[in-house]
Amino acid sequence: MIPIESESKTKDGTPVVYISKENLIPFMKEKKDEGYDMLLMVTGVDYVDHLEVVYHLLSTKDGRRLLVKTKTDEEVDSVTGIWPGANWHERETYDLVGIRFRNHPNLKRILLPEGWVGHPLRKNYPMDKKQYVNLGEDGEDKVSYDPKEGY
Amino acid sequence: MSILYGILKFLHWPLWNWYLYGYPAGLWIMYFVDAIIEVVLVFAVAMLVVVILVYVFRKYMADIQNRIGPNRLGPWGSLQLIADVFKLIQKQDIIPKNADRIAFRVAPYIIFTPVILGMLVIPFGNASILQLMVVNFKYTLLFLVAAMVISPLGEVIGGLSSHNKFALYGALRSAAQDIGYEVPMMISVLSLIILAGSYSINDIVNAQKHIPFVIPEILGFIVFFLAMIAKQSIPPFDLPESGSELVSGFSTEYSGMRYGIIYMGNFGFMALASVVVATLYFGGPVGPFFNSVLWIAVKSAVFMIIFLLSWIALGRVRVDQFLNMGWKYLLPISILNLLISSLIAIYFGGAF
Amino acid sequence: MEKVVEVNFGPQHPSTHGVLRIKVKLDGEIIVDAQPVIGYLHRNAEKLSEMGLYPKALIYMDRLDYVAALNMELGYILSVEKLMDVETPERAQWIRMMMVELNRIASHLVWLGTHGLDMGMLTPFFYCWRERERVLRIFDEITGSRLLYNYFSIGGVYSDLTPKGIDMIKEFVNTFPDRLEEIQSIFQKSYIYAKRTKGVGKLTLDDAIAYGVTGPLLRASGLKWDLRKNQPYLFYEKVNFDVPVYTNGDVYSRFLVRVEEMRQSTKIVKQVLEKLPDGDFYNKKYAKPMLVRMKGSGESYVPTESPKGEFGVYVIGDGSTIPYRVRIRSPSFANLQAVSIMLKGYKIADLTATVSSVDPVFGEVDR
Repeated sequence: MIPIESESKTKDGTPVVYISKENLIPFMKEKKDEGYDMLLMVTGVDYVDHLEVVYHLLSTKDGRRLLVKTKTDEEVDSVTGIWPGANWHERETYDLVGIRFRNHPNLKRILLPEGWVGHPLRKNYPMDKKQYVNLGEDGEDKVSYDPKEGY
Repeated sequence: MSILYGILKFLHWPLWNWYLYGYPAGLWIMYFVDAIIEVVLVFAVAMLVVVILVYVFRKYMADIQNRIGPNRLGPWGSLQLIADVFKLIQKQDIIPKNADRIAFRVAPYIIFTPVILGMLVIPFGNASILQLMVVNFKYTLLFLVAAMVISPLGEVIGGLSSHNKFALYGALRSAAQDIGYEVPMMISVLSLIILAGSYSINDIVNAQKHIPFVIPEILGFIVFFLAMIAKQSIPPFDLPESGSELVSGFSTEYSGMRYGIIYMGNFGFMALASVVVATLYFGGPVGPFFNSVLWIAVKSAVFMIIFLLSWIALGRVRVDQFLNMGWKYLLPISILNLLISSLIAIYFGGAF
Repeated sequence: MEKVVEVNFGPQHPSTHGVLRIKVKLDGEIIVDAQPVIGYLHRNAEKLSEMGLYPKALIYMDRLDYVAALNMELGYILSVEKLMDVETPERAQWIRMMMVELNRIASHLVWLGTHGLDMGMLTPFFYCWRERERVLRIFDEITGSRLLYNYFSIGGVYSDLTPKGIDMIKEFVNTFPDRLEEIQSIFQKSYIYAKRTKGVGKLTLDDAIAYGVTGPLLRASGLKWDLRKNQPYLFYEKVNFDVPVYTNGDVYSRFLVRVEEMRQSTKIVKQVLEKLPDGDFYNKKYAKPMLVRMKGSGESYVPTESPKGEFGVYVIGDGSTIPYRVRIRSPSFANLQAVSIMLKGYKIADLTATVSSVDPVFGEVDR
């Protein structure tokens, strides 16, 4: 049994479990063996002094749901080895919130173009500086602060 | 036709005198002027048929799809195609930067010309007495088949010269489709030649006085019909120009009037194919009580409607299933048909 | 001479249902690898929702899956109502159910029409659009707009059903099943369609569960999982309907599942019309001026069954009137991931068939 740091419930009755960063992978493996066979979503939340990663688990056999949360500063282990479907969710969390996932097969930005600077869903993201996306010479997107660069 | 003969005789009057005085050049010039006038006439009639066909297609398709179709320009929308032609003519002519300029420009004309070439050799009128046929020599059937082979070649050239991966795929599909359906078509034509005993379309039409060739050669008819649909990429076999799969296949980079010529070539070939099928298998102008141009008009109209219906109502086949059908099914059926025709020919002691 | 060519089915393409870019590695006509590239419609609805009040974020939810907008609103509204402990009167819940099922029919009709177009069949497109036009007129009569509604609100719905609207719904429900038969027979009796879709784009059940695929794709692969039956919300436990399940996992099964779902939705709408109670259509304690001052704290996630799969909005509130974090669980995002395994080993012609059977809507994928 992996030690749980704390527990609570969401407003609609789903149990929430807080796990420390190091125990994440063994805990997830245990949950998968218990029957939680579908990973629905990976969320990143920016509380200003730390970041949190939230995993939504579902068991299609009996309909139980579970939310798993970890606190982190920058890095978390990736669960793509357990559920391959976490691939794109983790890429999106890296893209928008800035959490890096160790051992991820392809950690690149997914929704924003490659050259984007900053992680928009952070609370300290500068909303007044605009970045412009144009077409670069190699056919890929080119991001810059100057609207006239690129085609 | 006698009116045309009268007009030509009138036009030739000064040349006729010159010929009478023993200058053979006069005769050659007469033949030349004749040929030009008749080709232009056939071209005009073919264009008229294509325009009517496109109009019927759009209205018919609209009716099946529960909508109205063109109804603003002209009475019941009949001038829509003319307006479309004007619109296409005034568009900017865009040629991709790295395309092969000469081949790119020539390709639409290669697609379009066989339509006219084919129309020249088909007997439209009374087959034995007075021929509404522009050219008549011993090997018109071979000429017709050869002309119809050129058309898919234009698609391949257009696709290859466009410097575009989608066009390349469309061109390769067109080449594969063309080769796959060429052989069954030729073999079924071969069985026709055996039954009729001659390479001339005129003779084939005359030989159908007693019985249209579709009855002894029902298999050959099916093979030829499918091969005709396949050869000029008419839906449901329009893989080279698959509208929703490869953007627009080989004609991706063609815009403006070049595309208009390809489009008219498509419909012109559909018209040509229906006329050819009506002639070779159903007797063309030969009818039960009298021979006239009305019969061939009715028969080819029936086939045009069948082609249009198969366009509107059916989906698109997948390329490998389609080539499968050509090689695995049509080829053996056409060889079987050849065997049957040979047996019939032997049984009846020579050709019809 | 086996050379692997990389072709780009670019963002502008007549048949990728929106802005999808697929990098395909081809060996002749066989697909060796296919990687979807998304992000062309990214508007970051999540960040925008954090900049306004709870009712304001509702309009961003509309624009996610724009063909089934009411399902998107429902997912958000149910989560926020749980977050704020708001009670909704019964009549409002029944009205919501009916609207959501009508929107499911409209969404599946869009899918059916464009699916036929991808297969080369031009005619079913017009028939489906004709039916969808009737549904859109019903929505216009009741909610005031045809495509993006902004109709649900915290505590109920914005306006009640009009008598003319109820008559239109009755007439639609009585005549739609026959028309659906006609459209379905165009596809089922077509030999070309059967040959192009049977056995194409197979997704096994284990792969589907591992990738988080839900909705008609999961039901076509063999698992009977429908949130309306397994974890009912609104009043789904009080109406009778079936859940279609097939085991082949190919494009043809997905077609059958969706057509059958349309039929079941019509059944549900009929039953709701009969059972509709009288009462308020919104919670009178929270009239409109009050809504802007409502505070939410805690977190909540209520999953609903949208036409594409499991949709839900995970809302975290910090006790103020502005949401702290809004995270949208969009089904098309997860389904699109599975496209790369569905395409391995098939041919190019199967690419459009497979992608169109997944039915991605890019407002939802890119948010």
